[in-house]
Amino acid sequence: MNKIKVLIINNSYVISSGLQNILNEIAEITYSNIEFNEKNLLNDVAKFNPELLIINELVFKFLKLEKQTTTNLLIVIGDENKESHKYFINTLNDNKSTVISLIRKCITENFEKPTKIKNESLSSRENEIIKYVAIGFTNQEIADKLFISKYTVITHRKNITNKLNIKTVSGLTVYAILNNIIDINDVN
Amino acid sequence: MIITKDYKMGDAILHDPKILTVLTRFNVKLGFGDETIEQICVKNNINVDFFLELANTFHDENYFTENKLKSFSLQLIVSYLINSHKIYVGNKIPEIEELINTLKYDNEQDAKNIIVLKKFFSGYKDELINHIKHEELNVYPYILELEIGLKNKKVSETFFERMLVYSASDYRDEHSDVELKLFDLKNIIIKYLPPPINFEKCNVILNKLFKLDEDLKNHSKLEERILVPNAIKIEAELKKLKSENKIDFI
Ligand SMILES: [Fe+2]
Ligand SMILES: [Fe+2]
Repeated sequence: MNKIKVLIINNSYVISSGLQNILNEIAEITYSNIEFNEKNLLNDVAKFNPELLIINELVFKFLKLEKQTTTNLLIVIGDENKESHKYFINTLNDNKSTVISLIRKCITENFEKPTKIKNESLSSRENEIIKYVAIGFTNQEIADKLFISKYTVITHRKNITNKLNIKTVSGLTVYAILNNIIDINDVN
Repeated sequence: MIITKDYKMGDAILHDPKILTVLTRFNVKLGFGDETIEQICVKNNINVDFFLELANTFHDENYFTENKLKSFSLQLIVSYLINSHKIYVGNKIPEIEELINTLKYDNEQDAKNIIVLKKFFSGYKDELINHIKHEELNVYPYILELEIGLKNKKVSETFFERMLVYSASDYRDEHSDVELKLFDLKNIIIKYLPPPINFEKCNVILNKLFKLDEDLKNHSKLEERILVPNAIKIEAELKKLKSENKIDFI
């Protein structure tokens, strides 16, 4: 699962740590936190390359001047909603569950959830592929064996990794043996 | 909570056992009585500020003040990193290995699960050891030499040449992710390993894996965000000194 990269730009420790506290409860995201510094801001944002920015009115105005507000997805925080922001957190009044549901809403409306694959078990083709991967065949060798293109093999492998959440070849080998897809003697 | 030097060491550890993890890197024995962190550090010849920075980093994942940490000598940081390596290889890994060896199934057929798990873990261990060896044989000595070179304003010609070819930024770029296999192992135990008869051991293993993972992440953070930027800074300074002819070549 690829996590959604969130960047909080805020100088207030109290607000940042409060936000982080809440973000910790949302499994789909990973976040960083930086302070607002006009000189470096655009650089910083480029460096983190976030998919979602959480900023206050001040940063919002700055980004607007720099014409950055159209390219980034934003959640704006503040004590009153002056500009009609699509996603707004009121730091004075919103309670925890309001904030969490707002962030969740923002996520569901803008990101499809890669975790929700209907069928988590492998298809028979995928089982076949994992068998060859586990034994140590290269993508090309698997392609030749199954009369499919190398790119199809790569796509299958991506799907396998997403379904099982196993990232290394030796991890896949363990999976294959535990599930009797291959015999332990098949691997040296 | 931010840990400060006048806290009692014992209380700090009771409050957060992760501080104990940091202490073990400095070879400090238990039995603190009522002594403060400062007293214990002085007694054991530990830089108090350095200890506090590390303790706070372990204690709170949002506490990582790069600027403060960057002010310590590279020698200090490297010796801490080497001590951590020793503990990974000498304690953490063998502990987990031993636990995996104790897993038991009541039928022949499932016995293969342990063999394959062991194999996977030993693959992980080899990867980690290679990673550590590379750092201790190549990277750290290079970085320490940088620091000494700047201090004495004196470097050897071959070292300077080497610096132009291999920079600390290359190390960062190729700094391999030793956590991938660890991630897979956790995942496999949680989701795919058929429970052995002494399945409670699996929970112990998992807990240790999570702790090791967190520990390694802090370790990499020190390497990538403190050691490397400091080294790059020194490289630039040495080049500048050379262009101004203010450095001796030996
Ligand atoms: Fe290391
Ligand atoms: Fe490392």
